[in-house]
Amino acid sequence: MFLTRSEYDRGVNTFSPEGRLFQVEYAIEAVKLGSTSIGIKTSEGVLLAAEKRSTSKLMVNDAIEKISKVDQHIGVTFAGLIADSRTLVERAQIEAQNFWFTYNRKIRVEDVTQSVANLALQFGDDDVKASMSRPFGVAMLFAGVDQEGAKLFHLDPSGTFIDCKAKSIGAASDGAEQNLKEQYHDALTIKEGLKMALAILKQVMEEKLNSANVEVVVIKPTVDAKGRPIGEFTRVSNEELDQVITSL
Amino acid sequence: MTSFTGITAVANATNEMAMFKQAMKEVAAHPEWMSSRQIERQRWNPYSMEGGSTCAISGENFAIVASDTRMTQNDINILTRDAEKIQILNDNIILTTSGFYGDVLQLKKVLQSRLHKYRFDYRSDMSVDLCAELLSRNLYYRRFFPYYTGAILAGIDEHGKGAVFSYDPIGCIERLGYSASGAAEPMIIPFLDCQIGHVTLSEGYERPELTLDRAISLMKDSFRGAAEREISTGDKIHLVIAEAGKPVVVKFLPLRED
Amino acid sequence: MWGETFDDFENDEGEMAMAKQNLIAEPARADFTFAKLPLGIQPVDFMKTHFAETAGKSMQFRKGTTTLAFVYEPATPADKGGIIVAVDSRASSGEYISSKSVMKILDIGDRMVATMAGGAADCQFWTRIVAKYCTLYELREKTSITVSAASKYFANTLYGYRGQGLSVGSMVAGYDKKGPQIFKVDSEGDRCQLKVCSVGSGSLNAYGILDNHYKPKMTDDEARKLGLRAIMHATYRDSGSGGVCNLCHITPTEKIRLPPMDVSKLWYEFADELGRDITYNPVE
Repeated sequence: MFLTRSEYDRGVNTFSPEGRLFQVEYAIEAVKLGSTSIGIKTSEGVLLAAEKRSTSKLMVNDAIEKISKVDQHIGVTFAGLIADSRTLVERAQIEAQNFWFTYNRKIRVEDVTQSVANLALQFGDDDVKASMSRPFGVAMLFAGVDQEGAKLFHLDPSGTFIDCKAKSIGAASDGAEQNLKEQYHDALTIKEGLKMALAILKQVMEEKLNSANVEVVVIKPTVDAKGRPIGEFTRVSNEELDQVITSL
Repeated sequence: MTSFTGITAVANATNEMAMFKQAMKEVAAHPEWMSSRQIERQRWNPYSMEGGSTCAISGENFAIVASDTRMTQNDINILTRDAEKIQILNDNIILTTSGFYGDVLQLKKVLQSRLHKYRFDYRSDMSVDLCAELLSRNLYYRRFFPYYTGAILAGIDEHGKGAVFSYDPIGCIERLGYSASGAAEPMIIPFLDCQIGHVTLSEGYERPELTLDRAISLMKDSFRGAAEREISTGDKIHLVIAEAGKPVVVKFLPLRED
Repeated sequence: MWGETFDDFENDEGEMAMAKQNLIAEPARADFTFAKLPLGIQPVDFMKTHFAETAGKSMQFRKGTTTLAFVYEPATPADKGGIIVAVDSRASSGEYISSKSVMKILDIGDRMVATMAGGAADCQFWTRIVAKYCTLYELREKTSITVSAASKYFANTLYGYRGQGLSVGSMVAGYDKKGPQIFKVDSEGDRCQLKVCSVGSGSLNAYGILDNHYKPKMTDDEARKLGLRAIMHATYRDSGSGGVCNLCHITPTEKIRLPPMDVSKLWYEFADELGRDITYNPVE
């Protein structure tokens, strides 16, 4: 399939004559190997749902974390090379804390996404400046509630990030996104959003959906001690998940 | 009596220990190998105090900042009568500083470049709350070689309310209703405590509302009062008025020139 | 960094660039170093010369305090128990009171507080560093940090700057999996766990009240009153303390901050309670 590209897909910093960076495009392909994640912005906050794919029944499913906490009000889910995502999540956490340290304010979702996006393009052959020799192989969904309300950002390995209402990444992202497009509307409640996300995951997942192979995080708006709008990151418990799954 | 000698012996030992510790401290601070020139350098003074006073008052929807414009050398020699100690960083943030003028300028530049960078990084103007915290951190970054300044940051916060933040030279931050800094601080603050804080008023008495006009006249009074009794304050009042939703107004008012 | 006197031209340029970078962008904390005095100048001496009694009022660092904290168990099932943290609110620059409304109970996370005694700026800055560390720790380890660990990080950080003139006397208090805990940490690197603790210039007065009236088991009301009373008496006799009394009650489930109480009003309240006649009547 990629035969014609062979001349130009070796160097991470070499354009092909058609003006493409193949290594970055391949990195985007790597995302499609990962398990599916969905993010939905609703009128009552924002939620992330992720499939936890267990390759063996000997694997302990609880040990996998597909949705990480960046700060009290921001969560992130990822698809692709999970090991790469650790670096990026760590960067996001540190960036969020540094912002708080300097300004005594929680960072905006967009700004934390931007800082991770900056890292995504710091690859290359140069040992001094580059932090990685290849592009990261993960796409991420940053979800959170800040002073501007609920936010959902999609970040891909090329460092592009887009503000979304609903988005899906990973293996079944095409199918999931088709469903999202059909079902999404602006007046969604968290409950409806949760049901929608799980219904879509149920449809696109190869395994049978149960509370053990899915992880859901809800970020609802609250106010901080000074009365400013902010979000609260909460994981949806297995019991609640079971309830929704049986009702599907 | 043996017990008493025992106590003296212990006392002597503690005494000796204290003396030994003192000697160790002195040696650490001024080791033998230090030449007289190096010891001279211990008295190295990179600062000079250019006097002057500055003050800020905040109200429901405004913040006013004032300083005098006199710059003195050693509190005696008047260097200039037109030194501006107030920096208008943007429509909502005003920095005012007293102390060493070199550090005043440096601090202003640092904050200006930070504000500029913030606008590029976060695509919005910094609000006064953020800038206040930022200033506090930056003052502390010079903990071991401090800026020789008493800074006050004032402005209009995100909710359209007046804000005043007061600092010590190494960045202890506090949000207050009014604050002063500089040579006349101990004269201005009691006056404002009385007029704005109403600390001397018994309960049940009517407390006049702090309007912009009242704040301005209180500000004028406090500087005129200070100029009467404080040698390094005088010449002109540099008055800056920030009102929510309006451009910043700058005024110069005359003050005693003696 | 700046102003090194032993000129090393090659290095100077690099360091100058670094220094400028630190001014333009917020320095990344990991490799950050504080601006140093020129070689051969002792920071402690330098501070004493320029920022102590001889300096102008607004040039002196703010300090002076009474802070206290104690652990108690609930006396009745209706009480919550936990930790009482009480502090005064005065910051003085020499003999001038530069602020009478300082908040000396600083948050470290949801369940922990640090009190502020000594240099006000030192405490504010370093508790922020500790708070940042704790948040990152909790994100990485996915478990809440213990008071012991937080205070140890605090003490170690301060120890790194020992002898350079930092002045911090802080109590880190909070609830963790081991129960209510208080650790006293200071800028000399000391760290110890205590049940009843007071720090600052008025601590002796506060200890006097605490040692007299403290019981391991108290009702919530008694405990809060004890905190107020100790602070009130300390502010009454110590010129470095005053203003209002801020009180924070950390219970097993929450952190309650009580509204500030004016200590001079408290004095009259407690005088009433003791049945003490506050006007002086010489015996005829």
